[in-house]
Amino acid sequence: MSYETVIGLEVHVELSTASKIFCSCETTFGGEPNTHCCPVCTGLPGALPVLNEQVVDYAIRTCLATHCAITPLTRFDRKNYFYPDLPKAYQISQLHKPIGRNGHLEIETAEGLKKIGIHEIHMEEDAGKLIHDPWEDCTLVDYNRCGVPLLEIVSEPDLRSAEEALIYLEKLRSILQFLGVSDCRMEQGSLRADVNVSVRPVGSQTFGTRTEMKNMNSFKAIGRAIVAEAKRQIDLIEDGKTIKQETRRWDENKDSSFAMRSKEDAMDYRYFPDPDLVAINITPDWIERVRSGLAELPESRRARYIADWQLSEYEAGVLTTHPAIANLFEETATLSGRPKDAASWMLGEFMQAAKEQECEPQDLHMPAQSLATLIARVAEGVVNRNTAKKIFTQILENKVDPDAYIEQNGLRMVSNPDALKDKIAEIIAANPQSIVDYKAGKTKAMGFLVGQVMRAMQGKADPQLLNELLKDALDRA
Amino acid sequence: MDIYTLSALELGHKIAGREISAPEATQAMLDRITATDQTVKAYLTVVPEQALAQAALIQQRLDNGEQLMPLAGVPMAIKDNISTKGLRTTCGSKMLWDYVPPYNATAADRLLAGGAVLLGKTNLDEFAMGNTTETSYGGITTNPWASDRVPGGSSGGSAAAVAAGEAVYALGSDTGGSIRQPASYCGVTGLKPTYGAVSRFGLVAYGSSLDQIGPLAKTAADCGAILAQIAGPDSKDSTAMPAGRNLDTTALLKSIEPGQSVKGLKIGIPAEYFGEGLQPEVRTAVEAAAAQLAELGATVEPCHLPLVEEGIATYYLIATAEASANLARYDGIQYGFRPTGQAYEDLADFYAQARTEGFGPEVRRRIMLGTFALSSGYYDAYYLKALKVRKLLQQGYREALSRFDLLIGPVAPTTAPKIGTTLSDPLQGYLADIYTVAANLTGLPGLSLPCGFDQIGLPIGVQLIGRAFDEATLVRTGVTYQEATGYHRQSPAL
Amino acid sequence: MSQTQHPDLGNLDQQGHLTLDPILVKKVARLARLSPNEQELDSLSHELGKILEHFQNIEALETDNVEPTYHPQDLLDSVRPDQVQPSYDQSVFMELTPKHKDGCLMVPRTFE
Ligand SMILES: [Mg+2]
Ligand SMILES: [Zn+2]
Repeated sequence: MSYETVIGLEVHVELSTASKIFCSCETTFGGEPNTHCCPVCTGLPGALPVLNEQVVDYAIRTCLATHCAITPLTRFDRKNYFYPDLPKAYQISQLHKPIGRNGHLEIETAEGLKKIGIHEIHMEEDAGKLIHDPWEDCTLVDYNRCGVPLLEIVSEPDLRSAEEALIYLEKLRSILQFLGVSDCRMEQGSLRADVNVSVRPVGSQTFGTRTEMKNMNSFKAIGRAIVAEAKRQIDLIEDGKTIKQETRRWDENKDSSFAMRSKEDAMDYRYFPDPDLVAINITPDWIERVRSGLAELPESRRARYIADWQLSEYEAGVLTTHPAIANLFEETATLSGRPKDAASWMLGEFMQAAKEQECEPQDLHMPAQSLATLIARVAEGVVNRNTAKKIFTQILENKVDPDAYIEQNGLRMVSNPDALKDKIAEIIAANPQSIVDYKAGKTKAMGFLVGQVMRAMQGKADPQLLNELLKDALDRA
Repeated sequence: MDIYTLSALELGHKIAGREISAPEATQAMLDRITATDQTVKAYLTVVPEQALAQAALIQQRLDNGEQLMPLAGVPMAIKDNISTKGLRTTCGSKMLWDYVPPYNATAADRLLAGGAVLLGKTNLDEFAMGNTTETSYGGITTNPWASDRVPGGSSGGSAAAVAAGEAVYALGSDTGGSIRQPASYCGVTGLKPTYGAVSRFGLVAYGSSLDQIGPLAKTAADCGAILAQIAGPDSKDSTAMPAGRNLDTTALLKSIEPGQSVKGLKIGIPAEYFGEGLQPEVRTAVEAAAAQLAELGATVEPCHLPLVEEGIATYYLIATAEASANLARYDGIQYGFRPTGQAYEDLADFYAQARTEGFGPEVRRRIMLGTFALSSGYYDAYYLKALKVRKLLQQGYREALSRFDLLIGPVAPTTAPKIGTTLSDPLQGYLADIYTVAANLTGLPGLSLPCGFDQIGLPIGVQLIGRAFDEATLVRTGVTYQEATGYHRQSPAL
Repeated sequence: MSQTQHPDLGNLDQQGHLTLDPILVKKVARLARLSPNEQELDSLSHELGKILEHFQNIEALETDNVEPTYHPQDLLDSVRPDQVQPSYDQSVFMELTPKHKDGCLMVPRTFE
């Protein structure tokens, strides 16, 4: 029998606010333990939460971008459970009136466009960090993350393969980044997903029993976990066994998941409206204000690059993987007036540099003005492309100003025929064998001599002029 | 003249006029505490040195011509569930017996900033859950009028301290009657402000949608002056009303001036407040108070209120449900009581040990009740049902107050019961809150005024319930009544 | 109140009062992280039973079309701007907790 995998994702994303969701402590990642804390986020007796308006703004942005219906009177609930990373023993979250419901996201799959339903989007607070201390055989608690704002984006079980799940996640991440609501740094845990997986015979309309893998923070692991979990479930069914509804933990090293110790009683979170917080009235005006300030999303940017600047589908796609890349490209294109060149630099040298430095391309330091200047100087014939590449590296590594660097290092291209002719004569005199080769029709010799002259001129020769003059000299030799 | 017999405004006036110095007043109160608190046991913590130092500082500020509140230099006490920076705040619980808050409650902050002198922290029912002050880990406070009687609760320590002259005034908190009822039992004046008038920031939460901080004092005018100092918007409390929608401080301060009148006020007297179980002397005294107000120029007419009896269930379901979450944070890890025995099976067992040992029986009972009301399968029938009945109750009171400026009735069905008689039957204890819980469920302000004594000399209180944020009318009526009567000026022989 | 109306809560005692099912009481106690001993379990069954029995006086009230009340005042939109204020010193939290190490609170192990 053949099976179909059914996947639903609950994505938790940390919002890029300056302060926490219910207090004024900073949200910066890291820091000495328990130094971004106050009575509110550590739940001291008598402390009360006050909602950060920016969190609502970011949530509205996300709802708009995912076509969710926005709840006019949204409110917070308490989710009660005891755990040391939760100082109040309840998480302030949303159950009854989440900010957004019934949205969707379109993804491009091998079979074409597919609509993935968004069940709901809600706002909540993050919990603290637990660290195992093997020496004392105890757990250490750091509350710095407590109260960092989160959005939870819950998909419908509309995904049918690990590939689809990853396409959905990448799409969602890029939207969140373009909206400016989150940096989605998975290595810092600012985007995590709970993955629900079940399988069923192809054609079946009912869902199979699902299992959940919580808190996964790498796309690679999510993809492998889905594949492995689907296989595990199919094997069980084929063996005539039943699947238990349970939470499993994915072990990245073993490439397999294992069941977490199940609680003897089912969780009863006793959600109820948090009496410390009041309802938020999201008026049409508020929504319009957010909508009018909404950043342009990648899809629209991609279309624009293709239509206005004649980029290829592929080029436009790469340039819209991250807002920092897209912004740098657009600015450079506009400043230099040469979008094609800007795209070529971005896809070539820029991406290459990220690979060499083993970092994300968006983390490279490259001012648009510098790159635009560089592109202009090449076009003007002030420097040749090879020299420009070296300057590009200097901008990245030493933050140099391209014009100043060209002047200080005398990198202007030599297009004076007399200066070139002298150098050519010198090189020809020093390489008699090459002339013989050239005369014998070996084209390689020409290239060798060009390289020699270029080297002697520290790469500054105008390549076109050099070719002409050298050929002339050889023919006359 | 004994300083401890003065009202807060009287003493404040004398301090401002250099008749009495702040340190002198503070020393007099500390002496009184030494003399009587062994019997009354109103305080859990007294801070003599800190109080004297504070008084000296305030005297200096006054001498420098600094503009402080009218009650500057007046020594007072704070209920021990209101956070005070650097001063332990126990909530009358073993759980928080050594807990020292790193910050001040907004209400405490505003008084201290205005020049109040803090004498210490007063006793209460554990986590404010009770109406007798018998459930405190710190022992029982006695009624200054009769040492075998309870002072009421949960602000029993604050009420007893004011009645005994051990504090000129005190802050209390009121979730279901916890300011008004002990004020009534102890013969002092107590004001529960409109929900949202005073910031709850720093008040250790019991029932968050019901809790309000308010004053207990010798006179209604004192209560008005104290409230004017602590009320107002607070950026740290989402449920504190913003400026413009909060109470009008100017009107409130005007209402405490002498020579007030109640002429033209319409007062409703709800039949349901005089039902079965009301002690005859309480009925007589409250009716006399209504007659007195009529004589002073108010119109008093009978009226009806819905769901007075059902208010008990509504209140206890909501309060305990909220409490079950509010008190979940006490688990022996982050602060407070931690069980010493190392033998626990797992984390859940560790929590259960800490909480079972750290909380007293009444707190555990209410946590159980509230957890039940929220648990899966029971939420709709209990908690949600109570939220809906609360709406009906609100509509009924709103309707009544559209026709009347005030409602008048008893505070409690009886005068102070004997120590040890209430706790044996929890339900009976809950039923005694019948006349006070409605003000909390509706958020309306309530004032408790001394209005007489029963046959054995125990004080009786009358309750006035006003419109939301119209504390001015409430206080004005209290001031007028107290100018015409002398019950509030009586003090116990100690 | 009759027993048949609330088979989910428990039984009637000899005085005709509701006694909560001890299994239910135990379940609630576990949710609340309380561990009553046998004696307390028994008295809780009786006391809570009696209390809930009385509370059934709100059951008959017609509330189908009534909106629940979350707050006495209809307050909306209490929000604050996204501005960072200084946090508290780490030492404040270390002084409060009975056991700590390296700036962290020490708790019973949570890792399996
Ligand atoms: Mg969640
Ligand atoms: Zn904080």
